Amino acid sequence: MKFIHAADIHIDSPLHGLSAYPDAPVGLLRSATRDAFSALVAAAIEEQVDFLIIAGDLYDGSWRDHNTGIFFCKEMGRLKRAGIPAYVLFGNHDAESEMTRRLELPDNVYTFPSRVAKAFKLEHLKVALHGQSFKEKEVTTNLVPDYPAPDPGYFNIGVLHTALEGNAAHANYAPCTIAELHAKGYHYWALGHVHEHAVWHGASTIVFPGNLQGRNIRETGRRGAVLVCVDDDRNVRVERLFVDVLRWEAVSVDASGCATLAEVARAIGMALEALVADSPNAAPIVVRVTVCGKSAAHGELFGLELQLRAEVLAQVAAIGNERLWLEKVRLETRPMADRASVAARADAIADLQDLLEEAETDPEFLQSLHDDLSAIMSKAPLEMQAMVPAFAAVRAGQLPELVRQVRPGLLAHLMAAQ
Amino acid sequence: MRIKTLQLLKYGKFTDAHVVLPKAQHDFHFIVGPNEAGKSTIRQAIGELLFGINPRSPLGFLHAQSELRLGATLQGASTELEFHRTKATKSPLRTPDDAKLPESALAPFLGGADRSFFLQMFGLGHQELIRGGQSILDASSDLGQVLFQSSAGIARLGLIRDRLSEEAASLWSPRKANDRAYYIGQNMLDAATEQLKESVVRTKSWSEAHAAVTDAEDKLAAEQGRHRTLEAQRSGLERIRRLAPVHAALCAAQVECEALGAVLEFPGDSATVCSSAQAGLASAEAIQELRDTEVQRLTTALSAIVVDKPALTLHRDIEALDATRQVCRNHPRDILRRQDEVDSLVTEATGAAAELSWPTEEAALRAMMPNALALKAVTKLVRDRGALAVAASTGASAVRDKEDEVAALVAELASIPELAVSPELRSALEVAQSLRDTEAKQQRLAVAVGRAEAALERKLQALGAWRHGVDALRSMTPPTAARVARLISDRQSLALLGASASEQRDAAHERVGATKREIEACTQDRHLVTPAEVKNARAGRDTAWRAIKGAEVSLAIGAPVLDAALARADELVDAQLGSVTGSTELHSLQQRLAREEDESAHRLQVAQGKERDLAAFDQAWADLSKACGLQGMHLEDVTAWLAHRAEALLAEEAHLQAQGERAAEQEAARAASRRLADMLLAGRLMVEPDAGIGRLCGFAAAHISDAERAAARRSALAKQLTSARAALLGLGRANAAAGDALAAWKAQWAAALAQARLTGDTGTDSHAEAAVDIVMAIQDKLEKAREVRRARIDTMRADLDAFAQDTRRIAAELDANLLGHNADEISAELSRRLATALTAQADAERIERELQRAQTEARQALEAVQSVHATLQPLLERALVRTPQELEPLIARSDRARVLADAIARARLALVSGGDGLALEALFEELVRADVPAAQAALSAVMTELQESVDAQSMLSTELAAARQRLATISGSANAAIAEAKRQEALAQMADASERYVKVATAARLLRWAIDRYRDRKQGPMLARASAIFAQLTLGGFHKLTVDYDKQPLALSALRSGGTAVEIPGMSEGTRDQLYLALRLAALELHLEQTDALPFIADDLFVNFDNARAKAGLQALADLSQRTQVIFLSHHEHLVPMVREVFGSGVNVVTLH
Repeated sequence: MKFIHAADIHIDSPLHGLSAYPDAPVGLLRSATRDAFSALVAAAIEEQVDFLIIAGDLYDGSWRDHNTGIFFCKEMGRLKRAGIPAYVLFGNHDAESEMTRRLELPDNVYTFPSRVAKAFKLEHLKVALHGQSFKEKEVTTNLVPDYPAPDPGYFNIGVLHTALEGNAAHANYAPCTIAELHAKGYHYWALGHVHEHAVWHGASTIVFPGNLQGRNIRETGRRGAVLVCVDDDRNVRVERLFVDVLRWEAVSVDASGCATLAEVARAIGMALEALVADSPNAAPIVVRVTVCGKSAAHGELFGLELQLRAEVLAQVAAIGNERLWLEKVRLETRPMADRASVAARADAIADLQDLLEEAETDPEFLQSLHDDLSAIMSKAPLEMQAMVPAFAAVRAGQLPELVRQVRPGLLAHLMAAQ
Repeated sequence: MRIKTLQLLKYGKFTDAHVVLPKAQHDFHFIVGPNEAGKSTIRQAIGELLFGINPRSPLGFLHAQSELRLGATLQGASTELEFHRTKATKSPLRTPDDAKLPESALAPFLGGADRSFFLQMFGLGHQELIRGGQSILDASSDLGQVLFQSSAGIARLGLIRDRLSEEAASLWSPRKANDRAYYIGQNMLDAATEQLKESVVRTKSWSEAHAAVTDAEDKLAAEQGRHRTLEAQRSGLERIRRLAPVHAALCAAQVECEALGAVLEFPGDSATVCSSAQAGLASAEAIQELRDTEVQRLTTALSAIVVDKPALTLHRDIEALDATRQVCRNHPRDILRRQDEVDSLVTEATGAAAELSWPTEEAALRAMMPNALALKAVTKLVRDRGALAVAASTGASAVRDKEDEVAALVAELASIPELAVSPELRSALEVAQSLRDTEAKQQRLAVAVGRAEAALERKLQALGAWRHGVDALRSMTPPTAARVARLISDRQSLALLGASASEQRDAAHERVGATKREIEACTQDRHLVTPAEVKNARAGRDTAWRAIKGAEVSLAIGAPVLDAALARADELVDAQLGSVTGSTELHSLQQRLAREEDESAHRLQVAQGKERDLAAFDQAWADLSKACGLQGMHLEDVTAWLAHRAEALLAEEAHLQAQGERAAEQEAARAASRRLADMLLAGRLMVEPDAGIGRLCGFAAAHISDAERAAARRSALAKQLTSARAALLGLGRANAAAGDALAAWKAQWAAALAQARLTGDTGTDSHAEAAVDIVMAIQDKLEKAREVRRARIDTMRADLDAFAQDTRRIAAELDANLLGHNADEISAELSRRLATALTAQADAERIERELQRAQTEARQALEAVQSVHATLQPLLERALVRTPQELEPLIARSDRARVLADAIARARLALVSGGDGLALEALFEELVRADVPAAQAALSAVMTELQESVDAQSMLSTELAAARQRLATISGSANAAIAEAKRQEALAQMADASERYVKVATAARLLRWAIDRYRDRKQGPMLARASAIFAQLTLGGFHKLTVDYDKQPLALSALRSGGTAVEIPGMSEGTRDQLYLALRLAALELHLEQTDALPFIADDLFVNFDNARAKAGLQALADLSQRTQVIFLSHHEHLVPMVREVFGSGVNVVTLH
């Protein structure tokens, strides 16, 4: 017997943090979550699995377009034609969605109720699936104690949407412990909610498959579901099933050996080529490049950040725009000269260094800077406020910290300008 | 630290070169050499010695890159280090013995300086000096920037700050612009949001669309059921109407069939066969008779024909004989005519022979004829004689004519005189001729002077109230056009900023007003329940309850009060719950009002500040214009006034130039006239004392022209005389040769006549020529007579003889009786007999062919008759009759029975096929029972109902299609998801732009603030030291640098020794360079007060300095060289004495070659 366990599909939710540029494969990437889900269904049909489990967060909570539900039904129709049933548990995001209540699903789709835990029994496989959907977004109680006792003679699967012992990166919904799950007596726990893949073996096999498709730079690496095979002795084998259509990667480039922007761009190009070479499958890669290290190019990079991005885009184009999408080039380089060595110069630059430090405590300067930056911040839409870290600093009155971040780059820029 | 020795071991053009830099009171070293001597190499070597050799050094052209090597001895405060620098990646520092030194070995000497700092602070070249001087001008209104740039050695500080500000402006500014990155993203966001709104389909919309489809499907299904019922009725009625006539025909055929009874059956085509056979038999028998008759006729005709076969045997011989006869028919007559022709030719020949007294008989005459060679010799001599006689005659005549021509030429040459013209006269004439039109030109120049004066006056008038004399104008120092343009631009910027600030102030004020109105409206339109009101109501309720509970009042009295209090409290709580939104909104509005009031106050301050800036600018301009002598002039008029001033100065120059040209022309004319008159008198040619330059030129030109013509004529005559004398000699020689040739001819003539047997009367040329012509004619006639006899007469006689022999041979073979006739008659008879025989033979062959064809046709006619009989025979045997006439009625009965049977079968088939699947019995029963006449009316009624049903279905189908279309639009498309993705992309773009904006805007503001602080703190000591150095460099021309604190922004200026302040734009380029050098040296001195010294490398600093200021520059460096080592590189050899004068004769001067 084999089945696929997936979770956190978030169909039609967008990718975040990507600004489009000419020749970027936007068409492909704008439908990434859909394409990944279609690939999951195709894999289920190809593997001829006995059933599919979706352990919550099929939809994105605030997403209202009914077309998403229709698309889901169509994909379930493909499963139906292949004779594969699907068991769907609704998570916190689904509880928010109107589609969860109103969508007419094909008859091969079975949903777990939200009032009480329910078991679906597959007699021909001797499999029992236990689960309870979220009734509302914020379910903070432990649902496991109310799950039915395991059915003797059956392979018992618990389907649960949970933060499991308070995963820090996710809201602490339906909390429970690993020990508690092992103690429940089920053979397999099909979990959802946490987007990172994780497996615990013991009395039960407890699995987070991870989300189906990475959607931002925090979700790097391959993504997908798991293919679970159970032999006659009820030994469980879990294989990762990668169905994501693009991959997020963070590349760190050490610019210590680079003296100019052109050299930094070349180093980034080489790193990107290596990244592509190490990715045998043809799925596009969304990449964030972080340039770090103590570099003689620090000052030049400070002033020509946009030019560096243009140079990196040229490198991306040379590698192939269909393989790479540049998310961001983040500069975290440091100047070659430290504070003491600049001070030892005893010249105007050294004086400037002192003055720039003084600016951090000059209330008049900080107020004028605050006025400047508040203007753009107040005009920016609400959704953007969290996307610009500096806005938070301005709001919180942490302008000295902002000046501290800008100061070394400016100083190096002036030193490199002659 | 100082460098004691510098070793260029393998570096650039140098190999094992040592530069010794000994320490002295003034640690100054002057390295001089021409271009390419290696000064730049030494400058670069010092940098690479201290901080490493460039991995891609351009100096590896003589030595291999890997072998580049430098060396030095460095002296610190108390230590000394001798080392080598190699290009090795690892351990580049070595001892002189090539032992490895740690990379930190130089650190104690460098004091933490890196390459860029050393080059920036301790290296100063000509290029940096020029760039620095320019940067002072560029930043003349920003004192802080000037000081900072000078002391840091950075010439592009303002550029960096401006670039940061420009980048910030390109990313975001409060004013929306479609080319700013932030607003590009915002436009994309707006478009994507709009697209998202259009694309999103809510679940409720899908439910409604789905229900509409279901309803339409149900209605359509019901109508389709009704349609099917009506269709069944229509089908039955149409069947009755369609099959009733068929049924009737079936019944009639069955009745007639029964009436015919038993019938002998024949095949269906029997009637046709019978009639065809009868017609065919009649025709075949007639043809048979006709063919037999023809065969008989042809047999008889063939037997009547007789053919002459012997004549046919000799067919070809007879035809050839007839052809020969035709050819020879005219031969006897031609033979006679040719014989007459021969006789005539012979007679003509003998007649001519008689003239020469030769024999007149043909054979004797032919023997007398001379040979052809002798005749040709006589003919040639006759032809040559004429030419020889003419040559002898004309030769003598030509010699006489040429002798006369030579005599005439000698006489003419003697008659022409020789005239001489001096070169000085020619030169004077050439000069004078160039001035022949001088009077007119002088008049034009006088007019031009007048015009220039008028133009100058107009230009001066255009200066308006600020008109001055030309000298005063020239000495004025108004601001340059570039500076005026910058001032105008600055003022416009200030005005724009002021206007923008005013707009923003007004807008902020309006927003405050609008928000206040909103708050007022919000407060008035809704009654907002406050928590205090709720609390009071609850207190009232509790009081009433406590009164009842405490039996303070009776239940009857207290209950209504309690009910009312409860109702009031509930009402207020409900109202409060209902007004939560309103309260929140009001609170939000009040917060917004506070923010907007703060902003309005800020905007007001900003606007006032901008107004003050503008006023300050206008005051600064007023001061500047007053200082320039342009008091009261509007800034925007300055550009035009400057243009008028420049034009006035140009007009003055034009006026002076016109006057000069006129005076020069007058003087030139007088001098040329005087010199030409002197030259004419020197050539002894008399001229009038007061003749003008025109007359003098004419007289001199005529004289020169006469002299040139005479010389040319004499030259031509001399050439002709030489040529004539040479020709005379040639003519004499030709005349003698012609006489010799004529004598030789006469000797040959007599011998040739004898050889041609013409010794008779041939003494003269004409007689000889006539005798030769007669001999040639005789010879021609005799040859023609011989040819006619041989070629014509003898040939025709041979043809006639052959024809006669052939005729007799053939006649003997065919008919001996013919031999009695001549050959022509026999040949004609034979031809006639052959023609008759050929005709008979052709007739016989034709008739034989016709007979064979007639016999074949007769046989075919017989076979046709037999075939027709065979066709009829089976029918006759079946009917047991003998003739076709008896057979015909029987066949007719059989055919009728067959027709009826077919009609019955077709009717049954029609009933089955048109019976809509019903069995025949059921059909017969239905048709028998049907009321056929009434079926049509019933059918019409059903058709009407059917049409109504179709219409209804059509309408329902349309509704269903529309409903399905609406539902189909919700087909799971990704349009909304794509729109949302676009929104996120736009937001990301805006976030990227904002992030970068925060960085560059912060950096720009930070830099501006730091520069201001730097100025405040550093300007005192730095300006004091720079003032002293600047005074030194300018030889006291300027004695102090000052800052005008009344101006905003602060401006740097220099005071002349007379007290006049000169701002930087007013300085010459060289003075600006000296100012920059003063600032750099001041900064360096201040720097040296705080840290260890490093060698100062000065590379050709004084290129734009005059000698005096260059000396002052050296003195300034002398001061510096007491604090640190100064290495001065120059290609100016002439500075060496100056260096020795400033530093003493013991100064270290290194000369490169």
